[in-house]
Amino acid sequence: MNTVTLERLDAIVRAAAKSLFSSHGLTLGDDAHAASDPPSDHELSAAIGYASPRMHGAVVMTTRKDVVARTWPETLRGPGRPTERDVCSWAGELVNQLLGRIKNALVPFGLAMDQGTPTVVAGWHLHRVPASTAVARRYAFTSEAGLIFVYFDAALADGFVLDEPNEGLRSASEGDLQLF
Amino acid sequence: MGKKIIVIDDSDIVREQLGSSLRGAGYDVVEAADGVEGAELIEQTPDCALVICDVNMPRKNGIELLEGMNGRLASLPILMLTTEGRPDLIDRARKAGAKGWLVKPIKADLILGVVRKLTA
Repeated sequence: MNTVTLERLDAIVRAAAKSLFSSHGLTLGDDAHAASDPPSDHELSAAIGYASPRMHGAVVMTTRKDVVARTWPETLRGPGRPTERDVCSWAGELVNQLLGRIKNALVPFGLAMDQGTPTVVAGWHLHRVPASTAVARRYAFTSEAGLIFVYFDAALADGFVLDEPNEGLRSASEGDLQLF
Repeated sequence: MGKKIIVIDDSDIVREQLGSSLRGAGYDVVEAADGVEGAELIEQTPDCALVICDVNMPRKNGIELLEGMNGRLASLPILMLTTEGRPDLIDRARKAGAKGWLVKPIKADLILGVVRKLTA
């Protein structure tokens, strides 16, 4: 993968994570220091796979439960909510929406990706074992609630590059409504 | 009793979000967790006024559900609610009879406005 492609991919994943959490009330910042130092208090991991003819892999998110709880939908808050099960389910929906944003941003590059359904794991000291795929990126984000790590793994077809985006292939964006 | 709406989504949180907003606005909501359950529920609910359907789901996705109904949904409005924004999927849904496509995240005011329009 060439440098320009990697920079474009990094920019897409970072922008997707920031816009996703912003839409759920949490402002993310880049944490360059944490990117080389996985935190030991991450207790929740949500992962989802994707595939296209030219690229396939997974997106993984790790953080603490209370960080996810901060983004729990306001309309569902109430006595005892969110429960631990709520938080785990919501983490799955968050990683689903994160992949959705990444996929939509890749549409102008000619990538049409299918996806799986999210899997959530809860435990102690969760950290992702380094992937063996050609692309294994890790992004660390700060927030007022705590750190969030996002991992983007990709196996690539030979000669894979992200060329100049074709704006004629633009996808619908988050919040867009089309009535037929 | 309000108009009946079927919500099909594999995320229990999304179903609860939609159900809460719709019930609060007076609608009667029934739910399915994937495309297979959703297709069965549609068949069993002839008085349904609207279907809100996710795209990426286990067993049968929302596009497959639409295409599998073979036009039997002509009189039943279906709104796709998904993280997907791919033009080819939107086009497939439109050709299979969907009446709208909304990209998540869920915004209650927007959803209720669309629901009122499609069930009018």
